[in-house]
Amino acid sequence: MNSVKSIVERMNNDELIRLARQLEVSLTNRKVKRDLLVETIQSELEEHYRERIPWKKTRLKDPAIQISGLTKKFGNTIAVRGLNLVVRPGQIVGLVGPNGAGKTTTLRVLAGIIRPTEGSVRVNGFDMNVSPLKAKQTLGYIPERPTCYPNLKVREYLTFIAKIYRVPPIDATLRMKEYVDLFQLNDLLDAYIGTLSKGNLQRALLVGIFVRPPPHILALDEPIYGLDPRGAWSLKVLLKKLRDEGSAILISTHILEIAEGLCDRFVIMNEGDVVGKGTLEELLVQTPNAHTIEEIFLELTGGIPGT
Amino acid sequence: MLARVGEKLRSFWPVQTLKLIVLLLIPYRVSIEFVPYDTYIHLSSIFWQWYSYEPGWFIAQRFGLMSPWTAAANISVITAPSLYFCYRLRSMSETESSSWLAASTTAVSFICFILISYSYWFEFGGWGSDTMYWHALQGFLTILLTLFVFVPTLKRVSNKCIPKRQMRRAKRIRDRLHQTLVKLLPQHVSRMMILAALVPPYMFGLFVDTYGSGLSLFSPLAGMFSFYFQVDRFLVTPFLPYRASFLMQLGSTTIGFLALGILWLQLLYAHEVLRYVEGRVGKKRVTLIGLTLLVPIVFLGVSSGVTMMLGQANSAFIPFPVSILIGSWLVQRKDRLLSNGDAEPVEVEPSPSHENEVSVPIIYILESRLKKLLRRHKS
Repeated sequence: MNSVKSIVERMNNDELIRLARQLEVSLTNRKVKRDLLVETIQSELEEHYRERIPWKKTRLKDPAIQISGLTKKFGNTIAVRGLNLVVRPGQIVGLVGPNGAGKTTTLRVLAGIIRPTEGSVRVNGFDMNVSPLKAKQTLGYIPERPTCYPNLKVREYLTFIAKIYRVPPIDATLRMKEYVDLFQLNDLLDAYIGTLSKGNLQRALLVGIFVRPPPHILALDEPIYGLDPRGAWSLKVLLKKLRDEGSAILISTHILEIAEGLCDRFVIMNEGDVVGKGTLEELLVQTPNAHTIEEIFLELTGGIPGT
Repeated sequence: MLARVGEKLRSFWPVQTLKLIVLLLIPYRVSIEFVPYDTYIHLSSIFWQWYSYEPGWFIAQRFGLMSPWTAAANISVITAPSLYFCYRLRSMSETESSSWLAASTTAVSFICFILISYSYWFEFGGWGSDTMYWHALQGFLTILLTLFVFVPTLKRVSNKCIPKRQMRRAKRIRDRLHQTLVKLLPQHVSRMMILAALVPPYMFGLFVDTYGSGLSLFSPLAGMFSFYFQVDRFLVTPFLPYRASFLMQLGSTTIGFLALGILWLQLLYAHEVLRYVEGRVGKKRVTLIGLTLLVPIVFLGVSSGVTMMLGQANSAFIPFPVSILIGSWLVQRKDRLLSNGDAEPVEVEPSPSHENEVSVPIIYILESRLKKLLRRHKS
């Protein structure tokens, strides 16, 4: 409840009025003291959440992501061959590999954007081929090259996402404020999405995902790549927090420092095949000549080049 | 037996005949005239007229130069293409396009109308005493084409494009959109006000006739209605109008279709002015659209003057394009604000009350008060 109170304190006047309207606070005077309004809203929120904890907690199915025997062919080219992958709630799994290894294809199949040639994908227990809507409802996906409705303003996009995912309006307002502050999107709320840079668009999409209540199942394709150091740091902290709260996260990256600092387990891919799998310790056992994640990666994807 | 009669009545020809009878009977011209101490009403259909100042009903249209049989023949010629279109439409499959047939039916109907009216004009050297019939016939043609050609074509297109299951979904989305719009409305009051100011009945004007002058308002709205108001001798006796009249011409074909174009341009102009005020388009574009809008309005004014000078009409209409004047004023105002901003930035000291006080929107206050009142009323 304290975090909710601090969110309300950080809100500007327009946001306070919006929240007051959602809470049906009666305001009959043209001017009202800000402190008084904040206090009233806080007590109304306390009343509102008396029956239920903020952001209703649900549990994810175990495993949250299950990819079995996935093969994806584009004509004669095999992008992914026989991939088996499991992400359990409370885990961050890193999909690591050089360019063209099949990471993005795997995530696109997972998000239901393309169909697998063979094999199946289950998200929160729902098969992406059989019940795609239910599977997609629980999944948050950020593509490598983010795209979004260019004619919507950031604020409109976030409100739209909250509405289609049926987030209660009060929860949506509070969560939006929390994550807009975290990703420093305040100044861009009234900007058109079409005018945003890649990094800012990525932040807007991330806030769009986090407007929905946790726990999340996330599929993030190179999420840190377009962000500035502060944004990257905020995201890493947030992902770890979400993991601790029970979210399941699959990250594709080729930046090994990020993978090492963030992921609990790794799946190393090379030319569509899985060449290594497990925790850092398990991978070190598999590759006796390697001492760091970088050396493991090089060893498994063609050997360490001689100097 | 009854079922068979009902089925026959629902079949093609009885339904079309019934529709036609209704179209032939409805009045296409309603005129109400106010003079000191009295009011005159005049309704005119194709085959009947009614004057409030003459005793009894006049069932028959009083044809002067033309025989009623010629009038009926004219109607048959004008109606035939539309009836043929309806008949063909029945035998067409759902996937077949009817747009070309609809376009050619409309073209043929217009050509028939023009041929009939000009042959009359050349034969009798003018409209003579049959003016009311020709006015009504214009209205009849517009409504006939709307009911028999445009509406069935649109219906087919919408049925073809949206399967039933999706239709329900579309309706749900439309309802939700409507609700959102209603919620958004108060936030866009200023935009709405600008739009309302820019899309008025587009021609206010001075009406000059051989007896004096008056103030009039003229709005052919989407080619279906003309609304006309005139106060004669307004300049001579401003406090006691000599005569005020209201005229509604249903489906005025000649001016109606031109009006459709002007109405579209008018909406485009309003939209662009709004975008200019919001800083989303340049001044050049707004000015260009404004000038384009001015062309047909000036054309109407000039043609009305020329018609009067040639002795074909006893009045002329001087248009007063309100929307362009308001639009230009808004554009100028925006320019002034911008140039002021460039000249010297004025730093406004925020008052301490600004930071500590929150302004509550008036609509919110009204809502709160209303809810309070209702709660008190309930308790």
